[in-house]
Amino acid sequence: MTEHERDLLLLAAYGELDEVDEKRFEALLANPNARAEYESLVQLSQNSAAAPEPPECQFTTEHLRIAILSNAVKPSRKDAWVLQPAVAVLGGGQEKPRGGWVWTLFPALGALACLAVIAAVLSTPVPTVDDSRAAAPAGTRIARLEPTTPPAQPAFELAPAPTPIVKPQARRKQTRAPSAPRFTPSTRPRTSAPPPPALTMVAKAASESLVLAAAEPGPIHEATALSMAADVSAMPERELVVVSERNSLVTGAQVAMEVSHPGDVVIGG
Amino acid sequence: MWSSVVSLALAAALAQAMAVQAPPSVVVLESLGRPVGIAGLVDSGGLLLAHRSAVPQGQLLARTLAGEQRAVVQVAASDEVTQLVVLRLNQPLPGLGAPIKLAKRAPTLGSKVIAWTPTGPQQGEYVRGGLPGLMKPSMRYAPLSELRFETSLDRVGGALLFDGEGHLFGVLSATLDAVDTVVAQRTFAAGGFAGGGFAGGSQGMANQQYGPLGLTVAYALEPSVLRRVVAGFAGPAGVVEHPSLGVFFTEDVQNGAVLLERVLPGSPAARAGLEAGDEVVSVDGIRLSSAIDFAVALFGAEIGSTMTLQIARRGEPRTVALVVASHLDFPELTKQQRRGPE
Repeated sequence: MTEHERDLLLLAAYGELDEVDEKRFEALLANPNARAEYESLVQLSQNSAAAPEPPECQFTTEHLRIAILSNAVKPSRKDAWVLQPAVAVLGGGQEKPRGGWVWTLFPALGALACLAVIAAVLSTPVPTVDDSRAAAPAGTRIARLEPTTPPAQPAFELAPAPTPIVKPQARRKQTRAPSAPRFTPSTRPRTSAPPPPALTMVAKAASESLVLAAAEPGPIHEATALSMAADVSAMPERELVVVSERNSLVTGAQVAMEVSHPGDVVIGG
Repeated sequence: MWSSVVSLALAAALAQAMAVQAPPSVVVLESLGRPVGIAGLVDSGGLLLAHRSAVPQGQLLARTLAGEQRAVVQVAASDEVTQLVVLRLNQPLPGLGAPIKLAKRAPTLGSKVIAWTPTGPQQGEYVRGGLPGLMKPSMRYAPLSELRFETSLDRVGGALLFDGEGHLFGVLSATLDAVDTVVAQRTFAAGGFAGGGFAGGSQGMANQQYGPLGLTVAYALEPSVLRRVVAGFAGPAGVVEHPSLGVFFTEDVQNGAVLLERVLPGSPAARAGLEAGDEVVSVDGIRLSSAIDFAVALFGAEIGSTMTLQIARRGEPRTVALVVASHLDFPELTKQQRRGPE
């Protein structure tokens, strides 16, 4: 089968054939391989249409970036390091000066510099993460940033107002004419099929990767990573193993497939 | 090359270690002089249990693992749902021991198991049990166990599975189609490169190329299914019966409701007035959350017992009582309905 013929089958599976290609498509279906390919493409298109929507936090990378950054810059004011200059002063005072009393000034100057930095930091308004976001529904964990004191000039451009999330479906509706639907359901008998294994695979891999990311120290806040993993793993997934009639050429056993959405199959009993 | 040598050495050592404990009631099935499958004596009357994938057409000979003598065997009965068959010896086979003991329960998770294949024993791991399975062509539910073998297995279909106590707990029925995708998934999740990508259709593809050891994911019927099948084959009728109501059902993708798609004429469901499109809400007072729940309830029902269903027909609730029948009463259950993913 040529690439052109394959493209023809793809167009037919998604209902985008024109009248010229329609006849060529009918002739192509006489080939059993082409028919099998077409049926698999129809299944793929149907499964793609029936695929669950991803959580809103995964619509755009921009929202993910904002969520990650808002947690990454979460201030951590630990009072313990304030005492470090004092410790340095004490340490410098107890050490025996080798080069004269001038050298003892360096620890003291360092301590004064640290205190100046502390004062500057404490006086700078820093963004904090609003705890109310914890009550937001899953998939909308976008941090709302507010300064502790209303500054005349924001410290840095990190906290834009949350932009309204636009779902891809809504965008398609804006750009496509409703009178010309992209997908025309096939009149062929519907043969149920599992979603492509790659979808399940990617979801699992993403979930595992995010959990791994949460376990590793890094700029990503652990809670963010865990919540993202929870969003991914919260997608409904109940496995059903479908044991086919045909045997594997490698193992000789029946071929099994794991179906993530048992709703696509018919069960007898 | 060295990995192959080491694998062969390990297999030989395992076979030697297991030779002492080799079940004397396991026979190797041969066709045209080549080992094609394996079967186990499950009844004192001389019935050998095997999987259909290990029983090719033509004359079959059986020999014990340690013996050299052979005896002709032929298929006595088969179960369309589980694809298990029983063979009967046409003549006595010297060296054949007592019937194999069936395990009363599944092995513990993570325990090591032995799969007896025509080429020898293979050590695997019992990963999980109670996995819902849909057996083709009958389209019926059966609980499955998942096993993993950290190697590439050749001709492992129909292998007999023994637990640590030497009890038969399953027959290896199926292997995961995309063996390579499992390895690829692991690699991808670990941040690595998956080699061949997510290529589907691994028929004839050597899975060693995705990792140093390879991986075979296999599924076996649960001990509960095995006991039912053996009891049926060894019973007076010599057939295996599965409980049935004569319905085909599916699950509403939107709300998870269990919907009857087809009701076979003359079936208990038809006699009770059930129709296609009815929603099954609960079984014996237990609310259903998925089609699998309904399948599990049907699988565990006793033939001849009464099952009470609460259904909703166009929103109107109804309660019906049905007498569970045998699936053998409805040949359509195993022959006509073959929808589903291939």
